[in-house]
This record gives sequence, C-alpha cells and structure tokens, in this order.
Amino acid sequence: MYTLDLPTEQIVSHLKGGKTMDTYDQRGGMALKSACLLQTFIHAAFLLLSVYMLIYKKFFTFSVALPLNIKLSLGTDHLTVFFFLLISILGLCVSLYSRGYLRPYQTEKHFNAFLILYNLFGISLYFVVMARDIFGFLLFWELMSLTSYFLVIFEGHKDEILKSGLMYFVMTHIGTVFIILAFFMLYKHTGDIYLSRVNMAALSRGEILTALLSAFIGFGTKAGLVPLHVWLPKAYPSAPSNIASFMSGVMTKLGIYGIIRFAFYYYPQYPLSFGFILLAAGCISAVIGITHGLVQSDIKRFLAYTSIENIGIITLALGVSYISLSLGDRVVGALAFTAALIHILNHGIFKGLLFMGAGNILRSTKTTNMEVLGGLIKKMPKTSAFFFIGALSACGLPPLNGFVGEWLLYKGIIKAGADIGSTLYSVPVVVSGIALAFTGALAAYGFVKTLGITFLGLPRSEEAEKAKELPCLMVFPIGALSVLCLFIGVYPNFIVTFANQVTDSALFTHSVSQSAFTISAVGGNLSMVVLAAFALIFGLLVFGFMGYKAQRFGTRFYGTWDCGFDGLTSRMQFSGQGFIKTVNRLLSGTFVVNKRIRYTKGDLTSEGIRFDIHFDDNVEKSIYTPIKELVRIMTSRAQKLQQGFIQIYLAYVFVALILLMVFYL
Amino acid sequence: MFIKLTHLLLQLLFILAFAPFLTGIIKKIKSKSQHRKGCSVFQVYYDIAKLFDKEVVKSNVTSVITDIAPYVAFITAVTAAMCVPMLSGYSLLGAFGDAVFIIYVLVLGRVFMALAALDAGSTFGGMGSSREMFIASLVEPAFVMMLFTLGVGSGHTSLNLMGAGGHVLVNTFLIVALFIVLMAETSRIPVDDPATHLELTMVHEAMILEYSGRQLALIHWANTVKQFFFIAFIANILLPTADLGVSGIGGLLLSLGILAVKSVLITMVIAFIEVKSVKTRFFSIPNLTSVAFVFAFMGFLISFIYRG
Repeated sequence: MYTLDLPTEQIVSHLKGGKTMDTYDQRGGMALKSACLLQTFIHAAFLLLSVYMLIYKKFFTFSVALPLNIKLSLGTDHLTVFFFLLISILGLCVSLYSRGYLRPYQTEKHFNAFLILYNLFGISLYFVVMARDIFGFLLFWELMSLTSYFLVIFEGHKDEILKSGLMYFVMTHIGTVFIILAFFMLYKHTGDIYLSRVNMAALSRGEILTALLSAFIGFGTKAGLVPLHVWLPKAYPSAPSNIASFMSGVMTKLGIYGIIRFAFYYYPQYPLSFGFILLAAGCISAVIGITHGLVQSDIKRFLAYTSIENIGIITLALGVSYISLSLGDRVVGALAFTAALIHILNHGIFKGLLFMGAGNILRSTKTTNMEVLGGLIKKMPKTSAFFFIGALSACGLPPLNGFVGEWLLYKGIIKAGADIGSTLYSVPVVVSGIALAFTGALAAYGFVKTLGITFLGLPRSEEAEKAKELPCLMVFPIGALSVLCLFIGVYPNFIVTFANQVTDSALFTHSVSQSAFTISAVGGNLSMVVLAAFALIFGLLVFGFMGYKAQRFGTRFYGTWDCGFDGLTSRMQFSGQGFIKTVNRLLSGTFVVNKRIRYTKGDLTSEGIRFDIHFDDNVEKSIYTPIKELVRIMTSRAQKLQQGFIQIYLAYVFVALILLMVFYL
Repeated sequence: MFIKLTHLLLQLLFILAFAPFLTGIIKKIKSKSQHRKGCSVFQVYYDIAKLFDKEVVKSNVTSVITDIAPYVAFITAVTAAMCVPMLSGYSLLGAFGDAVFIIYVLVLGRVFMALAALDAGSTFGGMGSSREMFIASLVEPAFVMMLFTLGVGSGHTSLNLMGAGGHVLVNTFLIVALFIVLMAETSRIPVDDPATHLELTMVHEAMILEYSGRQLALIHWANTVKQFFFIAFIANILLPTADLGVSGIGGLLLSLGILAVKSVLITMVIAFIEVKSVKTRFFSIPNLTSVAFVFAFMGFLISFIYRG
C-alpha cells in the first residue's frame, strides 16, 4: 500500500475552473511579465523618440492605410512631442510598478483581458496626440475611453465599483458627444477632415464661440473641470492604483490637450469671453476641488480631488494666457501658456508618484482609509520618503518641481494685472491669483493632514502595525519619480526649454528666458540652484553646530508628554476628521455631510457607539441628482404610453396616420 | 565676488543677531504695562543660549521628521529674511529669489513644523497643527494680495525693486494688512497668545510642546527671525527711507542702523497692540483675516488711481 499525497487544493480549484497562485508561480506569471515588458519597451521607445525629436527638432507625418479604404493621418509637432514626454515618463514608471502591483491579481478571472486592455490603453494615448485627422482622433479617443472603463471596473465584484465605472462611462460619452460636435464645426469651418487652423476671417463670433464652448465642455469632461468632474472622485478610488496613477497623470491631461488644440491652434482668434470662461472654470475647479478634497478620509479620493484642483490651476493659467492674448499682450500670453505646460508635466509626475504610493499603502495595509492608519513612516520608510516628496511637490513648495509652474503662473498674473489697462479686466485676473493662493494654502493643509495622519504618530489599527515595506520593484518607480521631482525643481532649465519650444510653435513667441542656473520671466529671476546652495551651506553649518552640541549634551528618549497620565493610546491622537473640523465648520454650507451614529450592543453590559461620517460631492447633489430625478420622472410619466396591449399600439399607429394625413395633405 | 560674499555674511549675521532683540522688546513692554519690572530685553538671547546647552528629550514615537523640522523652519526663515533688502536698499539673495519664492518658502517651514507636531502621536500636536494650518490658509490671500499690489505697482517682484514707486496712501492700507498678517503668522495677540499655559488656547505653542534642548532653541530663533522678516518688510519696503548717499562700508552700516531703529519703532507698535487687545475667539479669526484682505484689496484698487 502506498499513500497518495494529493495536492487537494489545486485539484479542487482546477475542477472549479479557477487558477491558484501556485500555478502562476510555477509558470512565473508569464502573462504579467510579458505584458509589462511590452509596455516598458513601448514607453521607453517613445521617451527616447520624444527626447530625440525635442533636441534635434525633427518631426514627421505619415499616413496609415486601414482596410475599408480608410486612411488615418498621424503626425507629430511640438505639442505632441511634449505630451509624448509626459506619457512616456509616467508610463515607464507605471509599467515597472505594475509588474509588482498586479502580481496578486493574477488569479482573477479576466486578468489576461486586463493586460491586453492595459497595453491598448497605453498605446491609444500616444495615438490620440498623434492623430491629425478627425476620424483618427475620435477613433483613438473612443479606444482610450473604452479601455479605461474596463480597466476601472476590473475589481467589479464590488457593487460600488461597478457604479463608479458606469458613471465614468456615461460622463465620458457625454463628453464625446460634445467633442464630436466641436469636430463637426471644425470640419464645417475648414472644409476637410484634416486638423488644421481655421480661416478665421470668414467666421462670425458666435460660430467661433460655439465651437470653442463645445470643445471646452467635451474635453473638460475628460479633464475633470467642475461641474463635469463628478466621475473623478468615484473612478480613481475604484480603479487599481497603477491604472489610477496612469489615468490621473496622463488621461486628464489629454482633455487639456484637446482644449489647447482648439483654443490656441485651430481657432486662434482669442475671443475675450472664452478667456473669462476658462479663467472662471479654472478658479472654481481649483477651489471646489481642494475644499472637497480636504475633508475626505480616503487617501485615493483625496488625491482625486487634488487632481481636480490642479487641472483647475492649469485651466486658470490657460485662461490668463487667453485673456492676455485677446487684449493684445503676447508676452503675458506666452508666459502663462508656458506655465500651463510646465504644470501639466509636473503634475503628471507628482500625481503619478502619489497614486503609486497610495497603491503601496493599499498593498501593505489593505486599506487607504487614513483614519485607521498611522505610523507608517517607521514601517515603510522608503515609500514614506518618496510619498513625502511627491506631497511637498503637490503643495508647490520649493525646491521641488511643483513650484516652478506656480512661480511662472504668479509672474504671469502679476504682469497681466500690471499690463491690462482697464480695471474691469484686470481685477478678475488678480482675484484669480488670490484664488490660486487660497487653494495653495488649503492644499498644504490637506497634505499635512494626509501625511500626518497616515504616516506619523502611532498606528491606529492592527493592519497599520503589521505594515511592511514593499519589494524593490514597487518602490523603485516611485523613487525615480521623486528624484525627477527634485531635479526639475532645482534645475528646471530642460523643461523650460521644451515648453518654450511648444509656446513658440503655438504663439510664435516665448517669454521665459534662462541663463546658466536661472530662469527669468518679465523682469524677475528665480535661481533655485543659488538659493538651494545657500540653504544647503548654511544648513550644513547649523547641522555642524548642532552636532557639536549633541556630542556635548546628548539625547534622551522618553515617552510622549501625557501630563503624567501614562495611558496614551493611538486612539487619543488626532484623527483626520478632527484635523479638518475647523474647515468643516467654516465652509459647512458647501459640503454634503452624511453623518450616522449607530449604537451596537456587545453583551448585556457593554454598548458600543459607532460614528460614521463621509462627505459627498455637493456639485453632484445640487446639479446631477435633480437632473437624474427629472429624467426619471419624465420617463416614468412617458412609460404610461406603453400599456403592453397590442390594440393600444395599433390605435397609436392609426391616430398618427390620421394626423399625418390631416397635416400634410 | 568677495565683496558680495561679505555683504551676504554681514546681512546674515545682522539678521541672526538682531532678531531676538525685537522679541525681548515686546516682552519688556508687556511686562512694564503690567507694572512688573520684567526681565531684561536681552533675555531671549540668554534663553536661546541656555537651551542650546541642554539635553534633548525625544519621544520614542517620533520619527526623522521631528529631527528635520527645526532645521527646515530655521533655514527657511533665514532664507526669507535674507531676500529682504537691508544693505542700502539691496540684498544679494533678493536678486535670485523673489516675492513668490518667499511666500512658498515660508509655507515650507510651516508645513514641516505642522508635520513634526503630528509626529509625536499626541493630541496637543494635532490640535496646534490643525489650527496653525487653518489660520495660515486664511491669512495667505491677504499676504498674496499685498504682494500683488506691490508687484503690479512697481512692475517687479524682486523685493529689491518692489518698494519703488509706492504711494503713501496705498502703503498705508498695505501696512495695516501686513500688521494683521504679521500677528497671524508669528502667533501674536489677538490671534494667538504666545505666553499662554492652557493647551486649549494654544496654537503655535502646542506644536512645539514635544521639543526641548537645542532643537527648541533653533525653533525659538526661527520664530524671531520670521518675525523680523515681516518687520523688515514693513520697514524697508513699505516705509522706505531715502538713499542717504553714504557709500562703502559706512553706508551699509548706516542702512542697517536705520533699519534697526525702524524695526524697534514697529516692534513697539506691535507690543502696544498686544497690550491693548485680547486673544480673540478662534472662529473670529476669519473675520480678522477678512479685514486684512479687504485692506490689501483696497490698497490694490487705490494703486490703480496712481498708475494713470
């Protein structure tokens, strides 16, 4: 007799049709490895291509012939290559990150389909910015939207993820309708399907504004401008973190790409009203984005709202540029345009970094709810350090890269305020600068809360205590992006050169000049290298002095000051909601607060109280919910027409026939 | 090149040496107004020196943020103060960093102090940190509006050149706004009482509750330097004195002396305000900062008249 040692689990799961992790470990996860390798190659190729094209200024156009006699024309110019740079930098890091992040997903049902869609999504981004005719653009735009929908709902066994995906799907297609309308007007005005500048002389103001507005609404839905942003805070937390990182860093910028194409390349007439629309949308998005983001307890939802805020800042910059150009001031126009471009690149880098960091936290602690985290800086030091750098970049603090775009934007606003003669136009621009300052300060508040509650202090739950640092494959891409943040922040000259090239191609002038270590714009200099050198040297002197004192007088470790109570627990720390209670109280009218208190009975003698609070989007509640209700009421009224009896339908046909005969004969 | 380095060093040493004196003046005036003899005006120097020679007691909950934060606060405050024109209407670093840089560098210092407050895992830190960030976000628009007015009026954002072409009426409104900003940023009454012992009413003190020894010395010094930055801003940019035409090292020392006199006068005004008012309720602070914003905005509108 011999005993059989059967691998029971594998047999059972094989009979059930599923796969276990063992299967993948033996095969080494070939699908995942090859998919990520393919992505890495594509992105690296485009990165090298874009750097080559930017340095040597060689661009190309070509046509692709598809079956059914369709010819797509693709081409590159300065703006396209600038976006190549953004997509490839972030895509490279995300594909390296995905290799590690997606490993536990390998047993999911549709994982291979997910990988194919992920690759398609990455490729479609490049082709959207390369498209040079209307059909190509719409084809790749739809491809991008559809693939991203499936990527968002990958974990669709949870109900709310499906709902968020549905909202994203509906919103993006509403946007596509407006984009098609805008392209239709472009076709009408240019006379052919190739995307090129319109002959402005033949058009009336109303026609130009209609085209620009439909483009603005359509592309603004993808970009996430208020009030078309409601899908963002739902879709990003639902998507897997590498997808959210890629989407937030790149896909929303493609909405801005569309707006830039229409406003600055195809219809360069610069009607003033559109400039004010851009400015107002930017200010409102920035302020609403950050105020809603401040009060969130979920890290990914907070990051989604700060994405909305930064898109608002970029649109604000475009608005300042547009207004200046329409009032004849090309210097400020070019300056604000360059600021917008630099902020596009910088935001892609640090937001991608932050979302991947959030993915690390999710992988390590199984949650992104900051109310149950804490003390992660000691458990995950590398992720924490890189997340800190990304967060400080997002606040726009020197010497990191977020500051460069904001500096240029402030210079542009101040010069616009000085140059614009009439108070009527100058005051809104300056007030938008104040809105910018306000959102910057609130962003600092929000990031201090997120960083402090998540990473510092004591762990608030067991998962946070058991958190571990992640393998190198998931930490290295975040580290690379952090180093890039620091490098661009201290030495922004490369990025400024590239952005100047794009500004030259669009506006035929550029306003930001640079010398060895300085960038200067309209009479002000910024030399981060000199300032950082001063700070570093002075810092070293202080450090040396403190080290001398430390050697003489030492350090002693004790507990946190607890007034002699000796029973400090982690629940006695501040929570995230407590941290922003002041803002909650000040701006309580602008939020939709859902509070719930539940009493739970343990055994006969103990009773627990549970308090849940979460903040919903006010725009959604005040605009979208009434519209949904209206549609629901109208359709349920219209439903009374469908009684289900064929006799009644025949009667409808008869009545319609009589009416037609009466009216047309 | 060598001369520029000596100028840099001279301004640096002046900032570091003079800043604690102003805090001492405020304390002396407060104690005299309470009919106390009070400690000497140089007491802040003695306190900082004493703290440098004491042992640091650190909580075992804290991380590297607690160690970094005093350095960041100190270096950012000094960098901001170095950009203010002090030597005959000129500062070396002011040619490289301008007003926008200063706004953000102060925010950097504040962010690190707020993070360090949360680091120890105590309630006091979170409380002080959240209040400090809240006040900062309210006071930021007023400060930026003031810088916009100066920048739009003079056409430059470098602090060396911003004071040019200012008009008395505009500057009056901006000075009122900047006084309120100063009181909010440096935790003076009526925004925050720096001498309170009640944690319930602390804003800034609650953030540094866990610090001791040489780290606390750096933080105190950083606060005095930050206060001196705002005072020097008022003194040299909003109340500029004419160029007296003395050149060379004598001219530099004369300009520093004039700055010292102006700073002492401004400090006495701050102390007077501190003596005469009380700490407001926390949720009345938005009212105060709105007043600052309105004054700065009125200054901006008035500057339009003088631009022609």
